[in-house]
Amino acid sequence: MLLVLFACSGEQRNAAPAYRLEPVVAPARARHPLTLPLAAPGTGAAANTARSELLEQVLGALGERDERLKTLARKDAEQLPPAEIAALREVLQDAAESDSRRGAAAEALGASPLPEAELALLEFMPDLRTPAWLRAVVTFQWGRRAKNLYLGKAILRLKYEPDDEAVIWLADALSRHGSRAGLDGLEVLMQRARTEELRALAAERWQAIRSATGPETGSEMGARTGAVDAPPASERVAEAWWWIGKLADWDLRQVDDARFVLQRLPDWVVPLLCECLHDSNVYTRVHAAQTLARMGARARPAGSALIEALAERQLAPTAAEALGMLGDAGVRPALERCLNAGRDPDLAVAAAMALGRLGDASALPALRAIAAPPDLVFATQLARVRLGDGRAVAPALLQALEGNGHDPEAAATALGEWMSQGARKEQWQALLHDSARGIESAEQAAVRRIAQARLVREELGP
Amino acid sequence: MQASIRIFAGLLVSTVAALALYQVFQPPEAPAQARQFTSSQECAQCHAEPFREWQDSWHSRSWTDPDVRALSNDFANTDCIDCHAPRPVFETGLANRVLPRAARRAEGVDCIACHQLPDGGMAGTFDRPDAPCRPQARRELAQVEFCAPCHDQHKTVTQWRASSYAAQGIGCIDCHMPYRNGDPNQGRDHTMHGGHDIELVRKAVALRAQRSSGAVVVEIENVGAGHHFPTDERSRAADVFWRPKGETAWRWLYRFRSPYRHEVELTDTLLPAHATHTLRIEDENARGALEVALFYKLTPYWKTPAAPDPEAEAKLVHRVELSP
Ligand code: HEC
Ligand code: HEC
Ligand code: HEC
Ligand code: HEC
Ligand code: HEC
Repeated sequence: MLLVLFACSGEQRNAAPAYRLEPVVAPARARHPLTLPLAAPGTGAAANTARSELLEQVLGALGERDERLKTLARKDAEQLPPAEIAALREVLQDAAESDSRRGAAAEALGASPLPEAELALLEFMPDLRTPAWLRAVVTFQWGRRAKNLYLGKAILRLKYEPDDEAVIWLADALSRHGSRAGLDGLEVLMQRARTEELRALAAERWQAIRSATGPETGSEMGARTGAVDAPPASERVAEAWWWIGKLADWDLRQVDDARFVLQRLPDWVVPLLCECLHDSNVYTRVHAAQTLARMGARARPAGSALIEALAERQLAPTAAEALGMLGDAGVRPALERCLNAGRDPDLAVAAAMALGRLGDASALPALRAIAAPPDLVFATQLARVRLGDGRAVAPALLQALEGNGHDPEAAATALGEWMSQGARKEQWQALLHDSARGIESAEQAAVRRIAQARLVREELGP
Repeated sequence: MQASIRIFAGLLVSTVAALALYQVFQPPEAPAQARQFTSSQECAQCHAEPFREWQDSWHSRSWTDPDVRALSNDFANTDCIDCHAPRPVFETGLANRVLPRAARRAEGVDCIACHQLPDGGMAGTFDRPDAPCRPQARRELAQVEFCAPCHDQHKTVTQWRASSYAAQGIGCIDCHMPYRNGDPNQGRDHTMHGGHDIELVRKAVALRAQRSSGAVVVEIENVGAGHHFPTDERSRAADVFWRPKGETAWRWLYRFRSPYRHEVELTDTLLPAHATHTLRIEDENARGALEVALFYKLTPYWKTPAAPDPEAEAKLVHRVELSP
């Protein structure tokens, strides 16, 4: 509790106990070693591994139409040793092989219970140079497997897979293995998949997943993943730490990917991310907090760890932002204390914005009391709109919209929230830039803002 | 005084004036030795010239730039905030990445992001502890590592390291921040020209064409960029076109560009520093008089990819004519 009290008092109060920083990720990865290395897609030599007769038989039978033969072949595939899995992997990846043999290799890998087989499928999925149908097949086969360990690798495909059908099977496959991360994508595809048939398939899969996992609605459901998945297998935890290790990578693409995956892993990842808030690497700390922020309400158990993190200067603004996303009114007092952060304006601004997002109107007195510096006042005004103080702050936001050095687009967005509750909401809506018309030029934006300002004036009245 | 605070809070008069007021009301426990800057607007008062140049630069627009806003979905993609509204480079250290900022985002890549030191002083070329902003001599400010936190994700600094400019010690600021009026005593220009300045782009490359054994041989040489051309690996593109003299439609020949990750069918065709790329036009329509031209585009896609109109959608860099 002492920590919480001192969390925002800045450098002045020497009495505050120092925030604990230590190596977290490296020891955790040593404690949770992966039994198989997680290679990047497309790596690994095509060593022309010897193919046994059994393997050729399996591939042949799986390529046939005869269902009975196929069932037998799948049984055989279950028995294949790791060396043969390597051979199957080569067939799958070899563009010179026939389509039917590559499809059969995917099916055999789907039947094998070995984690090597799972990895062979996962590594292949992101190879965008192969035909989309084959990626869809591989995804489907991954989903069919009885037991899958590497959820994160599959989740990442949601970010890059351009083919509608492959995405549908991916969402479906993920849901079978305890992750609802694909539901958001299905909701989009129900409306916008490239054919009527695929739209129907997306809707059907969406229904099926919903009825299997509960009646939550819309994006709330997409945001939640695998309530079904506890406790995780140790290899899954090891994979999570492997992704966490990427949070400190120099290459931002790795970091982006890691944040994307981690925020969609099941709830058991939250305590792991909380541990990372103490890592001695600042990128690990900040990116872990960002990941928690993106998890929203699912990260509520991280509340006290994030409040504690307000005591660490570099982490504090991101921790404040994350606290605003949890939707837990209990964090309000901690955020309010940060409004007077004194020497770190970044923290104060982040806290003001977070209070707005939190949506608890009891924060209004604290926000209204802020009179300087200007940038913080502006942030409190943006927050106050969200808490119902729109009319009071609209005149100030109007000036920002017209260009007084504050972010005009932030002002426009906030004013939009207020206007959409008023009589001129349709007119406001009509003014918004339609992204279908391409990128708005600076001139177009200026013209739009003038029209928006005029409308706000009308709404305010004389 | 109370009344004036309320007026300021409600009306937001000039930022500088409001800040002056804030100084008066700063909590007494704030240490007296350093003036704390909360906005780059405050620098304008004493550093008018760099301020004006910076306002004209794309660094000052990195948050408001419509292209960035469109691509980042108005920064709803928070991955994009880091470099477009950064905390100070010196806070995380040179050659490390910058962290995202929550305050004053509209100021983009600003004076504070580039100059502020962790102790509140400003990185500069000399020590002046008595000056209001407490400048300190920091040699790193002039080194390429200083630009790397933001510019090496796009590999610009890595490309420079592999070029002869690195060996010669010609760094980023030697080309991008020339001395004002060429005079070292006048300090460096903060406008930091890049792809938006077609004159600079013209200096980057040379275009040549000649006839050789029945074909037209076109050469494009990177003569002036200290890194690959065109520099931004993500969205810039430079296209070579040609047309028989008298025709209006340009015929596309070649593109220099680094593709996005999802464009798996394309390869990276950026032109390294000092490198020359040679193309041949073997077309019977090329026997007569013809024009060859290099066009530059800030964003890669054409409105009608099958029949691109470079004169309408791109900027002309160089054009050469060839007689029959
Ligand atoms: C590591 C720092 C960094 C991050 C993170 C970053 N950018 Fe940039 N961005 C730059 C730099 C540096 C430039 C200018 C030079 C260049 O493009 O090489 C730039 C330029 C741009 C441009 C071209 C602007 C123009 O004037 O034409 C766009 C568009 C852009 N970025 C969008 C984005 C988007 C969208 C994201 C998030 C997905 C993002 N950036 C994230 C550093 C970054
Ligand atoms: C009240 C006036 C004042 C303000 C405000 C001010 N400075 Fe200065 N600054 C000075 C003076 C005086 C010097 C020393 C100039 C000289 O001797 O040539 C200086 C020097 C510098 C130098 C070193 C110049 C060199 O050639 O090495 C830098 C860099 C600098 N200031 C940056 C800033 C930045 C960035 C800000 C805003 C955050 C700022 N200053 C705000 C007065 C000011
Ligand atoms: C993108 C980074 C960047 C930004 C933004 C930037 N500067 Fe600089 N500034 C530099 C570099 C690099 C130098 C050159 C240092 C050297 O020559 O050693 C410099 C030099 C200076 C100097 C020294 C004298 C001169 O004019 O060269 C002053 C003063 C200065 N900057 C003030 C400012 C102010 C004020 C702002 C904001 C309006 C600003 N800078 C924005 C990077 C930046
Ligand atoms: C803190 C991050 C950061 C640092 C440090 C930084 N830049 Fe930039 N720079 C950017 C961003 C972001 C953009 C893209 C702005 C936009 O157009 O949206 C940019 C754009 C540019 C451009 C392109 C202008 C154009 O016409 O599009 C040039 C040139 C440039 N920077 C040079 C430099 C040089 C030289 C340095 C080192 C002295 C430097 N920058 C340091 C972030 C940075
Ligand atoms: C020998 C001079 C030279 C040196 C050294 C040099 N540049 Fe450039 N730079 C250019 C020229 C010319 C252009 C314009 C052509 C182009 O876009 O490639 C340019 C363009 C750019 C752009 C604009 C990209 C855009 O899309 O608008 C950026 C950013 C940039 N340089 C950054 C750097 C950085 C960072 C360094 C140091 C590692 C550096 N430059 C070193 C000459 C130079």
